Amino acid sequence: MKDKNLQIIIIGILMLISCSTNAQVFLVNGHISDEDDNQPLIGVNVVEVDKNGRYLNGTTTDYNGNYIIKLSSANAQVQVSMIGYEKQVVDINSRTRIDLILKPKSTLMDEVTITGKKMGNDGVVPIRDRAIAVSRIELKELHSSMTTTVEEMLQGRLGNVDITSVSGDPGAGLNIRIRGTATLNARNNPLIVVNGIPYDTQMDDFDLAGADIEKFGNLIDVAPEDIESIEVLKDAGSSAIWGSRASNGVLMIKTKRGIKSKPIFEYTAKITLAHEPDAIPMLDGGGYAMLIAESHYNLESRNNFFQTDSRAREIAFDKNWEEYYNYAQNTNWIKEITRDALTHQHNFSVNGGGEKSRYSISMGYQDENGTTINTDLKKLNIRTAFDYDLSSKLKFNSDVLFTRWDQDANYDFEDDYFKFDKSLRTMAYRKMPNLSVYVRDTSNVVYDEFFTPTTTLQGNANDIVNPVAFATLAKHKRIRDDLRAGFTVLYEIIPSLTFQSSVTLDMFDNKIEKFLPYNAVGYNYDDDITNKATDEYKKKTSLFNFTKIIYKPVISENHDLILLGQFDAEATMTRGFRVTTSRSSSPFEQTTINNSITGMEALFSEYHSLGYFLGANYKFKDKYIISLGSKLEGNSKYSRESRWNLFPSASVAWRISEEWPLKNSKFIDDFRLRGSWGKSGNNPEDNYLYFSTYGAGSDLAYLNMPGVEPNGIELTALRPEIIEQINVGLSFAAIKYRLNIEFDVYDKTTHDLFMKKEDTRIPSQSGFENMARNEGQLKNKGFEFSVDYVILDRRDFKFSANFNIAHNQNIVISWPENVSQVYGNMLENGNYRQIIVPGYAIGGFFGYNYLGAYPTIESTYVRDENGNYIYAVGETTPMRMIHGGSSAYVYQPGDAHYQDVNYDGKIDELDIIYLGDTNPELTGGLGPRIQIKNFVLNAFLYFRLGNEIINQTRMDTEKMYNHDNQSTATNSRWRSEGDTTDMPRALYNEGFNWLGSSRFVEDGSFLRLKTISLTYELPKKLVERLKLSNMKIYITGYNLRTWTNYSGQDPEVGLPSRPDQLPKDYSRTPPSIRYTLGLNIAF
Amino acid sequence: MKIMNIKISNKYIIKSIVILVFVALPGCNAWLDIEPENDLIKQEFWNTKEDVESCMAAAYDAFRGTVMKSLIFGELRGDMVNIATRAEFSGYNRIANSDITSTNGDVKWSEYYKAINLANTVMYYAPIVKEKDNSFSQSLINFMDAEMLFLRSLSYFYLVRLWKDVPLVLRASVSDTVDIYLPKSPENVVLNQIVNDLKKASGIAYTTEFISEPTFYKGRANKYSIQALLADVLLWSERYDEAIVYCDSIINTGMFGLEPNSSWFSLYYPGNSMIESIFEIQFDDNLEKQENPIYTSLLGAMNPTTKLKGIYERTDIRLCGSIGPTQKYEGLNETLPRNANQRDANYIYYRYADVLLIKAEALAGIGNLTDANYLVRQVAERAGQTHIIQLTYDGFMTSLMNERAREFAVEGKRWFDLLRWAKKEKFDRKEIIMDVILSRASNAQQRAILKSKITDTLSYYLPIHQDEILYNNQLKQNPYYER
Repeated sequence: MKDKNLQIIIIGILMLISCSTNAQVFLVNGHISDEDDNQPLIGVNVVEVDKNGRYLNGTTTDYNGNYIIKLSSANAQVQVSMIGYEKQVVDINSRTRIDLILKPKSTLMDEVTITGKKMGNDGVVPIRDRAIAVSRIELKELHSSMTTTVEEMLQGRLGNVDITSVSGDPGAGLNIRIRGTATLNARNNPLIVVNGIPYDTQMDDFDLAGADIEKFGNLIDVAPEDIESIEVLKDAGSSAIWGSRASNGVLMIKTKRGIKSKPIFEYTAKITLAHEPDAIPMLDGGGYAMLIAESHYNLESRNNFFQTDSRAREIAFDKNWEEYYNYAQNTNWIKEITRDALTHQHNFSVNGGGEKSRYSISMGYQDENGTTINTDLKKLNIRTAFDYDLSSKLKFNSDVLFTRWDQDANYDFEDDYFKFDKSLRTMAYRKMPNLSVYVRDTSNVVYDEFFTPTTTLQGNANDIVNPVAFATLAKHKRIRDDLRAGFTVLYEIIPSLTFQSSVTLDMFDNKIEKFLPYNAVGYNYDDDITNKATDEYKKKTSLFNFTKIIYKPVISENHDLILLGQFDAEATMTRGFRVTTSRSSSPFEQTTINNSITGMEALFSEYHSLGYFLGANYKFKDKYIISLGSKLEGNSKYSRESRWNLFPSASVAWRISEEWPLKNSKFIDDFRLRGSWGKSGNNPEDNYLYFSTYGAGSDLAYLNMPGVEPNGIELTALRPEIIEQINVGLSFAAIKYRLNIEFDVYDKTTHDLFMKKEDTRIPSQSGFENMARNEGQLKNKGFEFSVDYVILDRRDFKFSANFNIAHNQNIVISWPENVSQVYGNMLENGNYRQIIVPGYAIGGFFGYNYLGAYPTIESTYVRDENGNYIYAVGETTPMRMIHGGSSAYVYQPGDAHYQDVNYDGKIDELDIIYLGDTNPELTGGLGPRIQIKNFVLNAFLYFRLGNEIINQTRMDTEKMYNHDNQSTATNSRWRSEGDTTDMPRALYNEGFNWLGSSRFVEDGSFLRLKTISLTYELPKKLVERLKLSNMKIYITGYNLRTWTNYSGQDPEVGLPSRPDQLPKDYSRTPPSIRYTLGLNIAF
Repeated sequence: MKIMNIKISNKYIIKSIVILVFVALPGCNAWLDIEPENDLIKQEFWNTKEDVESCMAAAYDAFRGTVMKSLIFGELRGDMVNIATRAEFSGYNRIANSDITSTNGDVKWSEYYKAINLANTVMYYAPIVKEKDNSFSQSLINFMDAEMLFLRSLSYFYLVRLWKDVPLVLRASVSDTVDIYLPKSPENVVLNQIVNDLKKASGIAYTTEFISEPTFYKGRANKYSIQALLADVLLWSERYDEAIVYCDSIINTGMFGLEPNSSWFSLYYPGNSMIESIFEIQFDDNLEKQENPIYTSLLGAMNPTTKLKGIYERTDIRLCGSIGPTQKYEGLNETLPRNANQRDANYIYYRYADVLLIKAEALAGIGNLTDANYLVRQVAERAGQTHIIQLTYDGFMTSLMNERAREFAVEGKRWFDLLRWAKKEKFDRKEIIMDVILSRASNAQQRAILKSKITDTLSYYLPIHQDEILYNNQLKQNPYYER
């Protein structure tokens, strides 16, 4: 009887409040019983209400069904209600005893009305009357508890919502692109809205320019169990109200709230085992030694490495050397730094409520181990939602969400010493395999100490560390707290006019502690990286206010009108500091305290924004729907001249299904044609860009007069990027809403692209070299199609399936000439060229066409278009192919053969061709759901087709250019004249065998069995015997199978954070194959 | 019974909404004015005369940033100095050999325009600041304007001499509302602007205010430096009568003269000669980054040609003995070197000797060879050189140019002298410059190619760097470089 107690407590608190102001007393008592069985009803709410339906005073019946209530007057009204019974309102008329009989309510009727008027997550317009493009997922359908993260739940489910996780490490962020990449320098990720309040997890960083994308993914901090529904707003009509925040679409998450019911307790437990897909097979110690020897032997200069270089003994396997055992191993470094990992998650929630108040409380805990050693994440989620109805007109809601992240990550690479291409995994692939992980002595005794020689064949220990030592000893701890507290008041002024205002505080607190002990990288005390400690704090506080007035006048049966006015304000402030110290006296002294400071930075940034929205939604005869909206937005990021921007939108829908001859169709439930047009904005991330700042410095002084000069031009015209979108779509529902089809075609143009100052050159006659501004145009167009079909719906056998497919094409329409747009020196190894050219997609890249290795000397001769040899004047042997630029290297047998596109006998920039782009042609997913009796089988397949990836790891492990370890694929390398192979010869530090070419570009298409899950719901009888209301157990497999031709560890390569970066696969931790065992009980 | 004693009526709520929307509106703009806390911004900067002064210092500093380029281009294509073929000077070497392309990074003009923009910025803000700062007098504004007009004019004078037609930017780039995409203005328009600006500046400038402080007196523009520049510009414009007027204006003050032979080295070290110096850009090696950049490598790479060494008499102090004329920047005298740390020799733009020789050239231009010869002799004899009186115009000009070459060796004036001489009367004497260019050609074949090309007088000017044309479609390339 816990539920009753709780209600009594809540009512009791209420009474304390209300009684304190009571002067008059009029007592009424009575007895309340059930109509069906005449039994006394316990816990019935008996409340005095005024004419407006406002609750004045109340009590509940006791264990015998009796109550006593103090009333303000003898003519008061009392409302009697209980869940599951029909409500009664009684006039007292001076009576002192009133006995009542309550009638049980048919719940079926309620459900019917709910479906008919189901509201969208904006809470204003019913789903059925939408004229806009929205994808919606009801989490009930998805059995949300079976996934571990929201991202996993959404990936591939929604058309053109392309989600890629930046890595498989615990806590890594996501890149979400809705309808393609629409901007270069402003934000690309969509707005996430939780319960109506924008949720911004991105933080200004200390070094935005050099920041790695892993720090910049989105994180959705809501446990899947807490989510009720997710909607993705895609077109301009739908996102209009969010103004410039919504230019990349909106992901609206609605969490569960309490409902009128007795408390429902729910507990979910999950245990997950993760296993990494197979890594690229690498050479062992012997294979490595042979390769290195060969790479020196093949040199033109024949430097006789083994005789002249003392480091050669490291691969000589000389038993007489005292270090022999340290250099005579077969270490699989990838294997050494990976593991099978275990995760467990617990989620507990309680939902319930009475007539006047409802509550939903949940708590989740997760302890996740990463598949890379020494990575783990502990996460705590607490969420509470209280709804309190002060009267039938005045209601309050409050929401509190708190998340604590406690994460141990691998040390990350932020400065000159550790660059991105030296990430832990990259180093594990590169590291020489004959090296021992631990120190061994002359008799092969292994010590409990990592083997980190200061220098090896591969260079300084700083440049290439012992990956195991690095992963184990270096510390990188992140503690993050995210607190969101919101308070909403709803007031129904008159039944057709509602006022609603919310205030939300979002606090995001991040602390990073890092420490790099000397023994993680090899001792080098002179260097600043020795015992380097970093302490970083960042705090972001956002305050939001959203005030809405919704007017739904009752006009007549044929006219439905909704008017909406909204005011919103945001104030966001970011603060932070970072201190770096070096050379602490001991590797155990891991804090920044008391050590010499080598770096110190502080950050402070603030912005405000204001918005006014006016919208109207009009429906005529349930057939014609028109929505108009206009948002006026002001943002402190812009000057007074440019800060106010108007974003209009309009959408129309025509419900064909209401027209003859479809009107009488029993088959079709709803068939709507939709069209929308609108504009929204996108703001650059940085604040204060428009200001002309001034710099001073002693170097500016003249004759002891201090000098101060402007650093740039004031940008009064800087404004948001404007995204204009046209959307045409249809919604179709049939067979009693069992079949749902949505189809949308869109065309989205970004005008006035924001160009960063450092990229945008201006004529120097201005006195400056560059200036940020808005210029250039970009287009995304495509379609989305989704179908949901409940094929069979019988009592013991249900079968449903969903499928979606989407296509997006990205094209640069115009591009300013003064913005640098060419990246990559094509005469040097390892580079691909990126050119932003109108007519091509952003993210496209160019390189040479690779034709294999030259087998013989004859094959290196230059030929003309007709295949005839070309001779130099007076020569009898044909000319040999040379490399362009100043090197004029002559290609030798065994070298990489690139196509000489222009037949000039020279491999240079004129020979590069378009190799592809990172944007997938098609994305989507499909999944059946089968329920037979108590068993439910859910599966989901996810695909991305037609995107090109540069397999950087393959380049790194097949270039055979330095002393890095290489993959076993290099065993097929060219070794002697006549060998016909795709793998060039090993050549130490010479030649051009790894120019950016088609050799390392691969099709990243894949089809993946993302999840397959079997749930068993225990029979009701058994469950009741356990005093539970529901119990489910399930087993889920993730990523069990991936069909792909991609040769890397995983084809799901995260999108680059900037579209002009190359889509390189650096072998980050791949998404692992996982098995989850779960239990869900409710009582 | 009332809850929380608050009577919430419909009226109350409607009222609050009205208040919220309409009363809050005017305050909105102010609420959106957020200024960066960690940066000094325009809105907070321009308040006192000291602020204007510090921007003026930055303008001088920016102008100081042009010294190296001015010096190199003053000698590069001339016949008195060779620059060693080192990687860092490879761009300049190509220009010296008449292999000039618009992609050569050394043909950028950005340094000059940076100084011009800062000068414009000071002049733009000075009257605005005056409104806020009562102690900022009109006469102080005038002094500053005169200095800034001088820096701007001198920058433009280099620009027209090197590129001929250049964009004439007279407004400060304070905001994106200012047009930064101006086309080129013809050389004579720029020169007229310079002359008018300098005439105006000469009337409002400092005269002897800083006389007790040599670095300020010689390091900041005053009436005399303005007039010296004006005379030089007028000479370039072949307006000889006016040039003589401004030279006389300086000469007649009686404050200037030539340093005697015995103290000749003091012109360069310590510099700021109270008698002879008129305007020098000051370097200061007590402050980091304020060393004269020529000491890092340029000085060692600048080798006097045999022609230069050959035009001195042995007795001429300016030859600096066996070391050659670069010794003026490095020596205490003909033999003793200066302290190696002493790397802040000023860059001398005008000194009294120049005024005398400008006047001499102008006098010759109007046919007064007698007085002209007298002036040249004054300069020659101070250094221990004999001047033979020339009775023909061409003879005199040859003699004058040699005297200028000796007097201003390695001071970045030779190329401009040659060009001025050659361009007189619509390039009536372009062989002078063609001979010099051809003498720099590396072989007979190149000489043959060049010979036909350099009859185009536009070839004596530099191309506009291709980036500038790319970033500003209003700009048209020097037609010579489009062929």
